[in-house]
Amino acid sequence: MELHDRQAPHRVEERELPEPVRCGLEELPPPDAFDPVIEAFKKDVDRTLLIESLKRTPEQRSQRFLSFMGMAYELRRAGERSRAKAGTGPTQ
Amino acid sequence: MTETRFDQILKLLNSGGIRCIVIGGVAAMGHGNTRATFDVDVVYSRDRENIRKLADLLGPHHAYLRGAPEGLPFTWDEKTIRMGLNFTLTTDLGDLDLLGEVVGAGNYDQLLPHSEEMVLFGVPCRVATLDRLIQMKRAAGRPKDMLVLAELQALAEERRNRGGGGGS
Repeated sequence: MELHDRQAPHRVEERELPEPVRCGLEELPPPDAFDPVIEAFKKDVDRTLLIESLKRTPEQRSQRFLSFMGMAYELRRAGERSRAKAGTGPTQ
Repeated sequence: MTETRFDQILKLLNSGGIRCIVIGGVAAMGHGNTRATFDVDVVYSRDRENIRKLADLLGPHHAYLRGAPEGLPFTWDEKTIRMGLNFTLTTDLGDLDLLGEVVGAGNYDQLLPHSEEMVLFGVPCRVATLDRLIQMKRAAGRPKDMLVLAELQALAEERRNRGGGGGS
């Protein structure tokens, strides 16, 4: 008997799976919990950018973000064109 | 690679009446973070009606598994959504992560009390609170999130300094 002639030993029933809830939310530390590693990283955060950002509304931030991402995508396209011209493939 | 049209994705979800909460980089941006992000992450409700709407809404936009080889027998429909949970998708409008459940926030119903209304890109959205975003990043525990976590905590501190909170 060929392998493809065999019948599957059982049929997997199509049914909805129960919704899992397994995140242990009650165990979450508070958002301002002290972590020495995070504190070390915090020293390098440019707070002037955050302070300026907080002066704006979420809608103003989102419009600036769109403009910034437009520039980021343009830079990426330029990089891709440059690599294509140089004959090198895309980089990850 | 498709460039993500953040405004169009949120408009689509809003106009389709999708029950979802924005998390991740876009939510952090809404709260004031200044980091770039290249996709939209949302926690969606897994009730039957919402799943049906998601299937109908994203099907015409060629939702497909991001990073998967072309030609897989993948069909974006109600059954696929019901049988799965978290989907990292590429669409005509860009990259969209549809998450049924996330570490540190749970599912839609669990995250809902920790979300707030916000207008982003001209679209009214539900967005996870800054405090919950911090807790989610911490719970994920990924080394790459350390700097983002530090930024979000610094942001929460600056908001408190200005008299605002981080949300529930």
